[in-house]
Amino acid sequence: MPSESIVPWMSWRNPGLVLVGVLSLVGLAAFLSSCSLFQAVFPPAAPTPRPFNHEAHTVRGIACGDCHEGAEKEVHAGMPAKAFCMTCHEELDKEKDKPIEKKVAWFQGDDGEVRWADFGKQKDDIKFSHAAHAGKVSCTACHLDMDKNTGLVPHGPQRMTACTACHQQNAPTKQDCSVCHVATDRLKKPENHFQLWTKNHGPCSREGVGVATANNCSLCHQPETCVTCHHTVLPQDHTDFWRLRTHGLAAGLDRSRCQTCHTTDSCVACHQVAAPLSHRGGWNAPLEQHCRNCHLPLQTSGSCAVCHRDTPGHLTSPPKPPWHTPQMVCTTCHAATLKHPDNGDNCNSCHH
Amino acid sequence: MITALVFFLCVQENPASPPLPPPVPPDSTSFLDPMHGTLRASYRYRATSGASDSDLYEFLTLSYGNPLKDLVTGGLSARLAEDTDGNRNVQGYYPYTSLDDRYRSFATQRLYTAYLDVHPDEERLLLRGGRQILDEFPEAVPMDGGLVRYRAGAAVSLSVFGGLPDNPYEPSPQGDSMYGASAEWLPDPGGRGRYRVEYLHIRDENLFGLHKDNLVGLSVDEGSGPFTFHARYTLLEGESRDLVARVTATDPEAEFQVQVQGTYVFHQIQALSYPLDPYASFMMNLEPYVDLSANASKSFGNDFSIDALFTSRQLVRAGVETTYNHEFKRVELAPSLRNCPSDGVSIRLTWDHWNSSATSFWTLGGDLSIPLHRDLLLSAGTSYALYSIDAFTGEEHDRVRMYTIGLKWQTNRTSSIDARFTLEENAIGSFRILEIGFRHAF
Repeated sequence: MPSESIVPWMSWRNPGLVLVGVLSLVGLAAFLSSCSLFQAVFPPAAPTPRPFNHEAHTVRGIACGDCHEGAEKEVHAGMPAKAFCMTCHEELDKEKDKPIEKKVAWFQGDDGEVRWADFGKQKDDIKFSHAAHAGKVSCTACHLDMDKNTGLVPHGPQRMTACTACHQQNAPTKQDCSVCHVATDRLKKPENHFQLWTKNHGPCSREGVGVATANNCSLCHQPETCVTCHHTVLPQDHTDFWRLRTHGLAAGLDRSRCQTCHTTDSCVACHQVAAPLSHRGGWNAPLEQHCRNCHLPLQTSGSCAVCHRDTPGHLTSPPKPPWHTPQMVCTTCHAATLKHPDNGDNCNSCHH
Repeated sequence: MITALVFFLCVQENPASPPLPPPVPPDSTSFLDPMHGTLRASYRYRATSGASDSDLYEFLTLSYGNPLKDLVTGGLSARLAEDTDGNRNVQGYYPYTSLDDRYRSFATQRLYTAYLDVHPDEERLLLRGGRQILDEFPEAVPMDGGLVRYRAGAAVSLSVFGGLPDNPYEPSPQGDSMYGASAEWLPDPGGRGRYRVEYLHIRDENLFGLHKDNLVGLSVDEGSGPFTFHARYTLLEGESRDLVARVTATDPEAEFQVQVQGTYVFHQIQALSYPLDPYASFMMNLEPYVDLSANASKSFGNDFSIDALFTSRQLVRAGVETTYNHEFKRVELAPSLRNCPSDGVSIRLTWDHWNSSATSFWTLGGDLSIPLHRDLLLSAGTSYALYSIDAFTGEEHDRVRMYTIGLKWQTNRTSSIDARFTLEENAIGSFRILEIGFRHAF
């Protein structure tokens, strides 16, 4: 009967250990956060940018291009300098009761220059020209509802699906990755597709496009690629030896790994037609002692019982007469009548 | 097949033959094309002492239409296999017995997916019918049936489906059925959050009896700055089945990613319907366990990177370790070197070590890729594996040495030919594999 006791290291349920664990983690985090290497990997977050109320300006008839002067003729739309703001705010900001949030000073940094929130900044891999799009699409087609935005929670940067949908309708000759991306190409692997990508891509693809555009495998791969690959490309350790002998060991360790590809009843189906490697010629011959190879110690699950489900269970073997003791040598009396191809050493295993 | 491939090779190399067609424009394999896909045909010859096997395989994947603009789209993936030497009915032990030997024909076919999508309301409504794989559920389930997905605005999407589970090795789907639903909410359609609830019912009548399983899944995805968080909790028959939580931190500037994942299986999992667990009926019950793993990936410039993985699994209850329920630790390291010593050359090493109370094994492998020409890639690799099996009869050490060499020739932008030879020396004997294949994307 298996013990129900908890494995020692699982005693994290012990409150004292939990406290020690939590304190250790906090201490480790504090130590790491002061480490220069950690700061190099995870640089401290930039000061929170202060939101800008676009709607307060657009309702007064100010167009996007009035402040973002490059919006129609340059690659970058650009941000207004403080001097430009002050052409209106020089007088407006003198009002005594005006909240600081409505003054240009609210956006000033220590150097006196304005610090704009760059919510729409694209990654270095993206090449986008505002001038190329001017007159073809409105600003708000990409910067969704920016004219009505009060600056509290601006919409995030536009998703790539919006770009591709528009290009499909209005720029059918500009569909390739290189139109918008500097380095990305449909025939070139992204950087994260090297190394252990074959092991790690599953969670990424399952998180889906909703989490990140990069999770949209179908940008480069056909939807059916998953199936084909999972049925044709073997993991590196799936050698012939693995196929014939050790895959059972690995399945015993982590069957969930098998289920990545073997999603149907292939275990049963294959073992119904394929005998184990050990079942070669001579198997089951008298004195071959095949029972001992797998049955010691006896177990009611795994090994032989996997296939030989109808074999009478050894645990139901008839007991020895009560006057037999474990010290007795069975073959002394039973040598001629022993049923099993066994020398009797382990009769006690079954006949208690 | 060989003749055809040799003929094709000759045609490609013979200067007197007609010139190759001009390169296809870059976007010809775009997902915007009305019909595209891949076709792969390969011949595989395997041999060992006293036995050999020859097989042909053909794989086809096909996608039709563009879901962004076409009313009807579809997908198909299928495989044909032919046993060319008739060894499928060998009596007794045969080292190349395969699943395809279950069928009495020399040719077997497998239809993985074949479905049509109708988009009557652009992206808002999707009607899918046919053989499909429900891959957004906690278990990927192949199904013959229908699915309806409705997007209520940008934030909410609802799905319902029903049909027959696809169990390819059962002679009849009698007694099988499945249905379910899912709801998804994106709190900020431009953001990284995703919340899902899923329900799946499967009725499966198989070799080991009738199983009726109800699975409910709840999942959360969130992201902030360099961090993404994923958690999934499932209930089976109303009881907690498992909990998976994963945190990923990515810093593209530092070319660094680390991922920590924990899995907790709450209760013993007994035999289920095949689509939910094809193993318990064979490998007996799965005991509850805690699994902690961490993997990290770091690049140093464009040409060197290293990946590391550590996993530790502990059974929740002591004394229940059996043949198919082990505690183990696993470590994997994989350094990669690219463009060294010259452009296009890549070298990768992998070391993988599993250790449990009953067995341990480790593998060490190395791969080298060298571009011989702009369109010709030579690859070679070797690996060594040592299996130390503390079986019930004592310690056993089995060694596997494998050597492989291959060539891939990109004949044009959409087609390639490849050949690979593998030699494996192991405790059973010497095994040789020759595979020649052709792939065409259209």
